[in-house]
Amino acid sequence: MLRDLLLEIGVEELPPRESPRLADQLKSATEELLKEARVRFEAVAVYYTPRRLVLLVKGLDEGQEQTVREIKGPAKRVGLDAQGQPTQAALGFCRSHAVSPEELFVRETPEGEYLYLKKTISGRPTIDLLPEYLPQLIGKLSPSETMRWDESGLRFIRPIRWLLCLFGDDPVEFTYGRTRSGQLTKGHRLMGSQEISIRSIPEYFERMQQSGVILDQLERRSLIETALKKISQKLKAHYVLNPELLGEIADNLEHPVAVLGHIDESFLKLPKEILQATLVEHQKFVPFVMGDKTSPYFVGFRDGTEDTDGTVRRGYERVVKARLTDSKFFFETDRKRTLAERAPELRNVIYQEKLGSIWDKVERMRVIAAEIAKRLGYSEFKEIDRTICLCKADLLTAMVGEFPDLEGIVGGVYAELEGESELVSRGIYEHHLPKGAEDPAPKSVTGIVASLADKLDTLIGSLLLGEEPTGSRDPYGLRRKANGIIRIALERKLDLDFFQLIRDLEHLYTFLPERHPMQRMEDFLNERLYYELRSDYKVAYDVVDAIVATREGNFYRALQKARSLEKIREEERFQSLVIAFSRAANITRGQKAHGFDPHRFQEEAERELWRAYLKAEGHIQQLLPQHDYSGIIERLIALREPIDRYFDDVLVMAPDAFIRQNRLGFLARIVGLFLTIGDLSKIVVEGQPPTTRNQANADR
Amino acid sequence: MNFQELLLKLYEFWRAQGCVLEQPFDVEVGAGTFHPATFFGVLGDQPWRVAYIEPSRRPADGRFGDNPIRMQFYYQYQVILKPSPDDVQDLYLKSLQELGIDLKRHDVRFEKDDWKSPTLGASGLGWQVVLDGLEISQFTYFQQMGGFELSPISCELTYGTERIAMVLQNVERVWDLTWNAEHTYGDLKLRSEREFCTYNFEAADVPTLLRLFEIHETEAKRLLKAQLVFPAYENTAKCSHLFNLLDARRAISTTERERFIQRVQDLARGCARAYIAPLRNSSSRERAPVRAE
Repeated sequence: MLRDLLLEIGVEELPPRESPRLADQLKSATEELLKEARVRFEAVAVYYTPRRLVLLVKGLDEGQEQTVREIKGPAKRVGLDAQGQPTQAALGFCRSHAVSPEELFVRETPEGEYLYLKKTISGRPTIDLLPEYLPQLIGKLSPSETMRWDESGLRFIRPIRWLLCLFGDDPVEFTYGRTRSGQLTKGHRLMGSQEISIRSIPEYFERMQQSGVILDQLERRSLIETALKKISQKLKAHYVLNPELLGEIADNLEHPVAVLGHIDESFLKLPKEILQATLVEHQKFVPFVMGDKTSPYFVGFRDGTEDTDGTVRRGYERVVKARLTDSKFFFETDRKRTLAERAPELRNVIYQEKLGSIWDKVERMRVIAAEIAKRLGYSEFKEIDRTICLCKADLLTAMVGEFPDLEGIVGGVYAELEGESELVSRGIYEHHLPKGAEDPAPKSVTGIVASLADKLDTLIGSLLLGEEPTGSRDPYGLRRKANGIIRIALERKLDLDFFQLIRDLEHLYTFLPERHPMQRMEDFLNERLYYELRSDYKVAYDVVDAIVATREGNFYRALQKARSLEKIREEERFQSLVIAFSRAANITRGQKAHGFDPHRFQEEAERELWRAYLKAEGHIQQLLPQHDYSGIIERLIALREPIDRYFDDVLVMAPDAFIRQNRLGFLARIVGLFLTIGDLSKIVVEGQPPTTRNQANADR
Repeated sequence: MNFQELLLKLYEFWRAQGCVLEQPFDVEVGAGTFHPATFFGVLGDQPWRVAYIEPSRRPADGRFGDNPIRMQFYYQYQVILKPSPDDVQDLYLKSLQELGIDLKRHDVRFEKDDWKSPTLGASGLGWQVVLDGLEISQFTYFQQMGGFELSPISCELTYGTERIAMVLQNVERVWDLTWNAEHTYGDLKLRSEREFCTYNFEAADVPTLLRLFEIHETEAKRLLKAQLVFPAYENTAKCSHLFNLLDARRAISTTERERFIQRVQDLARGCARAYIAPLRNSSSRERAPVRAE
């Protein structure tokens, strides 16, 4: 027989970012525990609101699965007589386990042959197991922070106040901390009763709905979006809602109802970024835009019923007015001094103890930026330098103090108002991009260079200090910053060798008394390149392996090479090339580098390959500046036959040391030519094992 | 309901819950938490229920009376329930109803707001209570005070009395609240609010504030050595307020800021340690310093 299991953990209001995580943990911990307990189930579902985590196990077996255990009895020579009949010893063994002697069998063990029997052990009833397992289950939830609230000393993110548990129609009784499970739950704080007795699982879901609780997190999300869509049609404006804000709203209430509020026209003069941040950051209200302008409306979601008499709307409007008054106050105070006037004060703001003040960072960024601009052939040197000099000054404004997420954006808006050129204000505005995976890369020349300079300085400085991210610990957000650098390079098609750039920048950091090796920068960026190509560009892992193995510091070129390899990888002529190359790569791997002398070639196959090599090399030198990687691959394919013939006719590991070294040196040159496109031995070819993949490149 | 009636109602409600009705601490503080009835009251294991009004000064929050809800001086109503009762949320909501707030008409929310006071070496988890989008209370389960892990856990309820009155009187600006039948809040407070804003942001003499900080710090240390816990604590509170003034004057750089906070926290921890020493509660465990964000 199968029954459903319901567990509701009643809590005081959970932080909205926490509940989805805890619900996930509840689901996976349940699945694990039930497997471990050998109780079969059909499916596990979880629901959550700020006040409850709900677990529903569908089709849970009424008992544990039977298991068959093998039990060791007497040794064969003791248990069986000469005729193979069970002796008294064996019969006694069977009796004690209530199994007939026919079930006995012999098994070879390290100690000799023994008699065994199989015994079926029936499982315990699930209802008896649950009181043991459920407290363990709750204990497995690990919130991001914990507190104590009573003398039980129990820790959770907020106090647990009630536990409702039913197995089918039967209550399951257990205790967690000071809380005893029962059949009582609570409805919505304002819409429902505060004591509801539940007799069955269907009744639970019915009563929750009646008492104003929308248990399903997805349903709350879609209710919110539907309401917003309706309002935006009426207003002829678009709502601005990212998934984060949607989650914060939906997971912070049990019954969302939209309340439309109006913004005093006098505030619409505030820059739209500041206006929207005020609504979103402080109030979790949803702003609306009409084209490029903020609309004078917002929507807040109340937890409860329709706001029929406008009480909630008036309250929301009052707060918005107060908040915007504050933003206006910050804005007006900030505008009394320009960014250029503020910038020198960055000397007093510590960036990092050993790396100096923010001003010191800006000074390094100026050098880095000039170097990048030169290498990319940009001519806007003056604007780029101005952007860098001003881009951090908004850290000293009251607005960024109030809205740290607006760093850069505030500077960009102020710069424009101060009459800085479009390029400079745009550059400041964009210099933090991309912050997260969802953000676009900067578009302006100034923004691209400033963002790269900022991130490179952070990365180089931190890694030289040995502050490398480990596991989930990445306090300086270095992975995000490195991904940002790579994304800018790829999306803006930057023809820039970052590894070379970094090597040339080391002199900026010689003031650090102790420095970790610069080499780590390349390894780190190489790992991040692997990640970006895999996750954002969906390049097959073996192709990415082939590219990163050659440490291509020009990320955009790395992507182009990957694309060319992907295009041709299924073709048979390419696959045979991979095999040919792998032969050369394998035989030269680990060998000392030798020079070689073509005059000392002895076989015709050697001379033939040499001629083919010279021809291919000449073409490739011409194709390389044009970045025609498909063309290069074609030239390499032309080498396939000569290579195959070479391996058929030539004994590379010749007994004569001089001949051997000459041959190895030649092959190493051939391999080197291939590496301009990638280490093809990493490419997986049917019937051919690839060389081991770089294990360090865990997808993160 | 007039502002003064609201304060009386709060006293009445919490008297009925068995609270000692205390009076304000006569030293400038940023919050009711600094009152010795809270700072010392939550240490140790004896049960304790107390409620009082605390005039609170937040120099950096001043807006020259131009902001409808933000000011550098206001009245907190503070309640400590030790140990924290199981139905403390319901109790709090009941107090709102008692004040005349019809919860069914309003939007009441408990929004995550974990609290930390680095100067007091204190921290807790809880919420800000938001009424129709306006923060009206802080609700905190204290975990640590003066560097000591607490047991039992106290619950702190802090009402922003003016904001609740604004909702009840349905006014847009705090200054328009009626204090009693004749006077508005603005009549009584607006002039001093403006003058203090000028003082906090412009007129306060930084060298004097720095000197005063040193004086009170030295005094607190001296008194701690003499085992005079309460006098030492008053000087600690003085330091905390002086630090807030220096901060509002923007006289402290980011790095120095952390050091100032640490200096006050060291005093607060010293006070807590000296207070606990004669109590039999040997189970109290001192924790690592609370770091400013």
